[in-house]
Amino acid sequence: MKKTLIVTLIALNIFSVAFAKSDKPKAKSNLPQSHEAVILESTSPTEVMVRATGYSGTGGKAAEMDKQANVDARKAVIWLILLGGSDPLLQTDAEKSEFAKIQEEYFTTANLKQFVVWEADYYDSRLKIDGGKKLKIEKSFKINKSLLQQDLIKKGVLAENAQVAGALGLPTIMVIPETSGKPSAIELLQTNPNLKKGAEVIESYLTARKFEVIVPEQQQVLQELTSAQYALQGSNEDYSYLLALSIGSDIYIAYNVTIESRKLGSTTVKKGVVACRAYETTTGRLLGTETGYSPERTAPDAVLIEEAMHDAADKVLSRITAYWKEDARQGVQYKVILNVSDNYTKSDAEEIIFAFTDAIKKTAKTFKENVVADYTYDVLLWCDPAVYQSSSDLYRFFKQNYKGAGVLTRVSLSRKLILLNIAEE
Amino acid sequence: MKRTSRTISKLVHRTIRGILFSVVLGQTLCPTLFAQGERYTRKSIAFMDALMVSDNHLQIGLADEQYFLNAINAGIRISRFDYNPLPDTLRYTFKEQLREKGIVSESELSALIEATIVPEIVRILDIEKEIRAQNLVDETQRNSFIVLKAKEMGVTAEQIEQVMNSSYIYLPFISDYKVSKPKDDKNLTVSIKGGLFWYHIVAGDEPRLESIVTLHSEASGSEEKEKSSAESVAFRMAASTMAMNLQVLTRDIKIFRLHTPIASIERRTIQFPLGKAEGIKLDEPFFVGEYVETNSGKIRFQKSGFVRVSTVADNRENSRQLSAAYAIQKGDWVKGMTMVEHPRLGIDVALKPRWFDMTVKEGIFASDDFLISFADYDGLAVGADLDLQINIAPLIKKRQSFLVVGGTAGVVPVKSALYSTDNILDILIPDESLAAGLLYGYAGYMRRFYIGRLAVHGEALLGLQHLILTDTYDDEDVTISNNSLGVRINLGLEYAINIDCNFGVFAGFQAFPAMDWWTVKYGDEEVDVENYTGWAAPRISSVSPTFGIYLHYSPPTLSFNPAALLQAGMDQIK
Repeated sequence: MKKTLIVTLIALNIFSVAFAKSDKPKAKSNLPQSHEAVILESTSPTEVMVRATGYSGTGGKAAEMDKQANVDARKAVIWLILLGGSDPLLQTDAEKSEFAKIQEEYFTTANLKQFVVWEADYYDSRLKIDGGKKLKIEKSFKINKSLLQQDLIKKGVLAENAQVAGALGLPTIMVIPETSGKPSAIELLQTNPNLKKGAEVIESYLTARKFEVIVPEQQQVLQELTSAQYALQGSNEDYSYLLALSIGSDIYIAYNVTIESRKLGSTTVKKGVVACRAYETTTGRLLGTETGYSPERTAPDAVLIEEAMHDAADKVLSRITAYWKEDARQGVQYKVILNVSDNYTKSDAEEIIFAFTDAIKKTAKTFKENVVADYTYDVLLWCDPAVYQSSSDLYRFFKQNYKGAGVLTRVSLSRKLILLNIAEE
Repeated sequence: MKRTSRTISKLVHRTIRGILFSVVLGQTLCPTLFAQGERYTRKSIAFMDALMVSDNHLQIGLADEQYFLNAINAGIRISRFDYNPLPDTLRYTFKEQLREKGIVSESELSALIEATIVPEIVRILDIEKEIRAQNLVDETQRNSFIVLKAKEMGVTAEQIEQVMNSSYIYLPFISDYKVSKPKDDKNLTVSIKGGLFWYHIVAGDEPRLESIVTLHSEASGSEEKEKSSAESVAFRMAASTMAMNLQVLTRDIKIFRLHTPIASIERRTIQFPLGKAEGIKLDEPFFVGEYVETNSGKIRFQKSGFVRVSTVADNRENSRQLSAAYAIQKGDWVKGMTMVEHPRLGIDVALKPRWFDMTVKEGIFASDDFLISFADYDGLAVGADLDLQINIAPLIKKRQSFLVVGGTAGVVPVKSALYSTDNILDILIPDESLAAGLLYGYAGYMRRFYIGRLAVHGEALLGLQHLILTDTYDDEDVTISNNSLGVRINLGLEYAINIDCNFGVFAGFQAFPAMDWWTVKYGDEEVDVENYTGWAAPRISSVSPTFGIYLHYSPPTLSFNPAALLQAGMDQIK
């Protein structure tokens, strides 16, 4: 009897616990219902304009539904910047999983409010759906993307740019106008105010995001100064040094600017169109291309260029950042071009290249061969930045570890480009 | 004064006809659909200064035709539109071709317009776009980094496309023209039927016209036959009435109807971004509601109440200025819901059955042709007011202010005997009557105050009272009237049944003292007559409270022009 009673009590207890669990109301998620949002434009280096859709819950008073839909639209905006679109702030799986831990508290209304710089007075559209039970709104917002990024850095979801790059450092970027040769890019910058304006806008974005920026005109001035110094001292110019200076950036952004105009009645209206392309300097790899448009209006060219460039630059920089993060995971990248003296026979040269490859295998985390010719070896390698902090460190390693024929000498060492030569002693 | 009774009877007839017509039109034009949440954008209108007459037997003088066109163009020239008048050469070509064709159907007209007008309109729009583009540019500049730039679609290109696509053309037409000259009426009446063809000009690679709607209206005007230009004057009166109607009907076309999101709500007052730039006026009614997607996927506007404009903002310079409106029927409203215009003439028609006291003190009235005796009576009389309440709020800047013009038709159960010198029998045997007719004509001022759907109104009126007996004399209808000049004041309590109708009760006081003032109307001719009797004359007065029921309706159109009626009344007094 006692046994039966105990069994019954245990069974009842189990049932009550199970029942209590199933009856427990689910906590309402703070995540957005809507994932419908689109970036309209980048209005400044720190702010973006977004249009988003928000949904209310089912039923309730109009004011309540309106509030819910507004909050949801605001969440959708932040979601887009964090996770949606082609260039979200959270790009790596690690960042996403880190954010997933805090997303419920992050998407609270009070937290999101700080990032909304402005929101439209009027809806772009307002519609009751589901036979009038739910409210759907479309609204425009201006968001401080930079503040959002900083906040995520503070919360440990994103790493600071400098931190991302770690020992690698942030990429050095040069901004140059596209040219087919003559006049040169620098001449264009000096003579064409539209191109100059374009460079200024991109540079403003770059500096706002703490990238190292190389200004081509200054680079040229530096080169000229160096030449002059050598000349004053009666020394010969070090052409290899000058060459290295010219390849001083990790990435360069080439851009073009077009102002299109047409007549509307007797008024000329203009539209600015800019295209930005980001390249890896050492490899010429295209990292991203974006085109930006200004509205068509009667305004000075500089204003139109600025408007168009805002749009393009923001997206290109997002691509660069993504690329740099990805690259940083592999290590610091160097381009090594080895030239083997043609005094060697082809088979000897081949042996020399094999020997050099062995040295590379010892130092590089990974490498990619571009060209393996009879006397030339062109390779990209990624090394641990903690071990190799500069190209001269790497050169020293090669010098010490090259076991093949001939003597390894450097032709030029620049930030990312190492030109080497192997010749008979 | 002479034509008061006739005018009132015509007024009743026309009003009923007008109301029925309005109801039918209202039902055909009521659906409303706009892009949800969007504000009204200005439309550019091209107009053809040419009149189409669908029956070439109709002969309308050139001066009258031009008057008609001017009236229509002035009526349709409202603030929500930009205008692109078409060049004279084009108009001339079109008119010539129209004249050659004679009677044209709607499809023939469309083909003719496409051949002669469309290419030219596209060119004109390019020129006119300069002005519009400047405005849009201002707005873009103002908003530059703030408002939506649908870059992915090309903002300014879209705006220009919008301007291009918002080009419309209208053509006035007359389909029927009738002149009636009744023998027993010294006036002739011109009745016209006509309207506007509205087309949408679709620009692009294949410019074309798309018919939007054909608006129909009818109107009439009267003038004394004797006058040399009677028909022309009557036609012009009808033309101005038609212009007035067509303006309201045009405003009621869904693409031209003003609509805007609510900017803010504070208790029963809402603010919204429309104003003088769009031509809104005090007291104009707007529906408030929201767009709802039905289960079948259709989008409809669900009304949840209505408001009347209480403050008109001057947003011509600063488009951020907000107008205000007060809620009469208020729903569960929130910022962002939509207001949709409900175009009306601004003239309400009120019907007020009422009761009041009449006092008749026995006596005799004798003129050259008639002798009338009245018995004593002191009791209730019954009548019905029919008023036109013309909204003058935009003029005097006080909301819900009305100029009231109206009349009462009633009956008083007083015994009378009427002798006339028409023949020996009439001299000896009187026409005895148990009741006399009562007619009032009055004008005054009314003010209404809304408290939600309830409203109180007060009005002060100055009017004329006619106590009427009728007879025949020399085979002609004769009306013998005792007249009095007096005042009325009323206080009413109304309930807004819907946006167009109020129902309520009223009580007031009228003071029409006894006056020995008699008129006899032979046929159309009315003369003041002397009272020759040495006996005490009948003393007819009404100094009494009055009370009744109140019903008003705001029609979208009327087939007569109250302004013209007023003018006729003024001429009468002169």
